[in-house]
Amino acid sequence: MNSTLPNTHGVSLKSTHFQEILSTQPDIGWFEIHPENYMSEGGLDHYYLTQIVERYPLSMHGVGLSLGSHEGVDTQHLKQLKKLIKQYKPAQFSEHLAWTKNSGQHLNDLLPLPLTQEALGIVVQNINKTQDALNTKIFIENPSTYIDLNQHDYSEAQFLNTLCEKTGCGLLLDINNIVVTCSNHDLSVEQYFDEIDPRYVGEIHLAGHKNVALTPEKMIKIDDHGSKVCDEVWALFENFISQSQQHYPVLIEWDTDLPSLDTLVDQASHAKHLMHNAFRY
Amino acid sequence: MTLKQFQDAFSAQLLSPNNAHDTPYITQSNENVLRMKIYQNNVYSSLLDILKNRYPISRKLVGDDFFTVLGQQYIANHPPESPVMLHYGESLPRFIEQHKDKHNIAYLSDIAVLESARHKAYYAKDNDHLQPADIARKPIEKLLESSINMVPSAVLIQSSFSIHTIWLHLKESDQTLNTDISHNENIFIFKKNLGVQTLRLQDAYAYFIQLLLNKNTLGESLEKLIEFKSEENFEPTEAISFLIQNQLIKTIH
Amino acid sequence: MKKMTKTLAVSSALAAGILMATSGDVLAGKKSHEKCYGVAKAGQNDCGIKSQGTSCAGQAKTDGIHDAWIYLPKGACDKIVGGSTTPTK
Repeated sequence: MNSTLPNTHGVSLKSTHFQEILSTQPDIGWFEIHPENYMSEGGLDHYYLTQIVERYPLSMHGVGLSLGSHEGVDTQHLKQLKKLIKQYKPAQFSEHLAWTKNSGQHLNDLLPLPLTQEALGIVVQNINKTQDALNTKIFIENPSTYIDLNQHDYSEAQFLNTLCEKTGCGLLLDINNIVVTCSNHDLSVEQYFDEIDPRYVGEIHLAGHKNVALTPEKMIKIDDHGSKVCDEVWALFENFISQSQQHYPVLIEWDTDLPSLDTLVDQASHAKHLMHNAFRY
Repeated sequence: MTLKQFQDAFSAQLLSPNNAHDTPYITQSNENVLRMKIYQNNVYSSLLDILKNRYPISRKLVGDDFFTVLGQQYIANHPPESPVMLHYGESLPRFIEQHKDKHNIAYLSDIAVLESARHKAYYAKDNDHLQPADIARKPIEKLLESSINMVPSAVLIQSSFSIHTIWLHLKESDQTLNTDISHNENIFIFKKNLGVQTLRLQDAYAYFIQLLLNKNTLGESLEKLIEFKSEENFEPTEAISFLIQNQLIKTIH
Repeated sequence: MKKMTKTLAVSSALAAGILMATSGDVLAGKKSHEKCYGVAKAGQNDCGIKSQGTSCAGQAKTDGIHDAWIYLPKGACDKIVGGSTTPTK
């Protein structure tokens, strides 16, 4: 697989939209799926996805590989990914800087990683194994985190840059996650963007988040993908594009309180519009 | 301090949140207890959503509060063993049966078995059956001596309660069900043309399907079916036609 | 003698069953090409779309996690006559 995801707007593919997508064929550059949701022998999801990939490019965005796991990545899971990649020929594969499993238990959440030397070595090994097995360059997404781990040898941006440097993987920059993580840990968004090496970025994610009270005094941001992209994230996206002067595949993610397909397409079209305009500066 | 020690401690804390844990890399503070709760809620809520989705009628039967506690107990004791969440919750019916004293609903685990089988049938391999013409081409004498493999979605559930009646009623109505539910019912679940079928079978046909699932030959199964005593009318011919028309035969040997 | 009658009954049931299934084949063949859209009627046949599956989103839910069975069933089981939740002795 060569990374051939078009430098335009995509949205998360949701099963409730399958039929509408096929009947209305909306103006969307590509769709993203979580391959884990298609790891079954059969079912309607396969029936519809088969038809959708005939019309649109596809990105596979894994949630279960657990690249941050000290136990290493699961060979069986890699096999299933390989099978799906062969079947649906996605234009790009991405995963997260996170861990989801431990001692045979899969926790179904993207858990935080201490950004230490040891962790770096482990993630490098896991990415290498994945890239070898899938025979492709993969893209790693920066996560949303909610708890402070007090031992870091790197900032998150430094850690991600180093991963790219050491493994040849690319970066999936989730701008909403940067806002969520920086806000939750009182870090500077500006500094995060200053540190990220834009040459590694091969895809951008945008989404909505939710502000909830952690204590009466302290608000916390939850990356729930349940609303429109907020103004701050749009502004940071525009800024990133106008500085890098590059086009990227850009995805609108929406998972909870799913809106109509029209709303998703509108958000994605807005991203496309901003990306084109940012070039005129 | 190693990554392994951190991940062992963090996952233990996630799954048994009400026990105090000391997790490396996390400073003990009231705020961090609340932050940890976000992860605990992510894990429990997302897995509970999966169970709600797979067992909607079981949930309706016991109500939201009870199902939440049931689900949380199940999650704590049986966390997912695979990264593929489509498979999660398969053993919930057994867990419900084991904890019968907590709910005292005798038919609850059978309803959960029915729902779980429907879920599995939905994701089973599609169009995995022999074509009718291919079956018709085989000599009758040969077929009589053959046993069949049914498609993987096919599951027969024989309950001592009227679980099909209950399931169908609750699926469509919030009204009181005024029929006697203490009669046994046979439910046959399978996939046909991408759709999951949930049929109630007469005793004679259920008996026949069970014989075939137990790898009796078609001849033996038909012979026993013909001898079957039942007050209901049944036609052995129809039983054969049912198998073929519903795309149930995967292989014959 | 009796055995022969039985064998005859078995093989004719099989032959007739196959004939019944395949003579309706024109119809059955047509049906299998029908597209399976949405949710079919009467709860017998579901071509329904399942869940959204797993996502990488967080959940902003804050419901407590209980370590004991603190609730009794209080759902539609009340509406099943004879399906009482009181223990039988």
